[in-house]
Amino acid sequence: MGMYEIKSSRSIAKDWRKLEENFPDVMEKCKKFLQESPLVRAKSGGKLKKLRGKQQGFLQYDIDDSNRVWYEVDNKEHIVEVKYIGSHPK
Amino acid sequence: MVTTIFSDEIVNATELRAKQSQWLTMASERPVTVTYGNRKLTILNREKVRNLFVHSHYLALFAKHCNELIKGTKSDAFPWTEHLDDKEKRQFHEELVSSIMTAVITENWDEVETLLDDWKATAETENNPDLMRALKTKVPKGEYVTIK
Repeated sequence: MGMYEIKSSRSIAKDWRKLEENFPDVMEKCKKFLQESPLVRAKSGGKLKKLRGKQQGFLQYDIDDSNRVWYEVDNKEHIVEVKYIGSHPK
Repeated sequence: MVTTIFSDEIVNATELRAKQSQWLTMASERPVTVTYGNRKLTILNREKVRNLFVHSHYLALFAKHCNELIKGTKSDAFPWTEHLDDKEKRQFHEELVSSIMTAVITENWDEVETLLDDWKATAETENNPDLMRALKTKVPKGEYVTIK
């Protein structure tokens, strides 16, 4: 299975880069997961949540204790669209 | 009677010492109770004990949840459900019943844990207006950038 391409709006990409500067290791791990197996719970080490109910289709990956990335996957085009990245809602 | 389900082998401390290996092997399959004076101590397979604790934890939580549903009170078992709408609350309840019934049979509680994690993440997402706006926003294809 091929790699997924990670896409986002410009402002989300900016937030991504900011987190990458501050937490390079965990962001690298997150990027690798999104590129290789964004839907596979078993490969996430317990970090992947698949939203349910009205939010079915959206996924959440726990970057660390306080930061998360929310995304959806276009399996046909092999694209991961990052919708939001940052602090977990309190 | 349910009390007869717990069928253990009973041995005194002297017998246990005499045939230690035999009793310990047996204890990995079914409970062995050692009598010591007027005390009774049971040797159990650790995995089975762990499963009993997990089983008891989730069933207690589920009973609390059902009681709160019947009484129509705010959820203390799963406080985050207040952020779900009525349809989602019903869906959560149905999925929880189904996964607990499966776990009781299979003794695998990971699916229940996963279900709760997913629904909690959903509820917390729905409680964040900024995040909800972002999830609903459709970015025109030409405005996408690739993260490398």
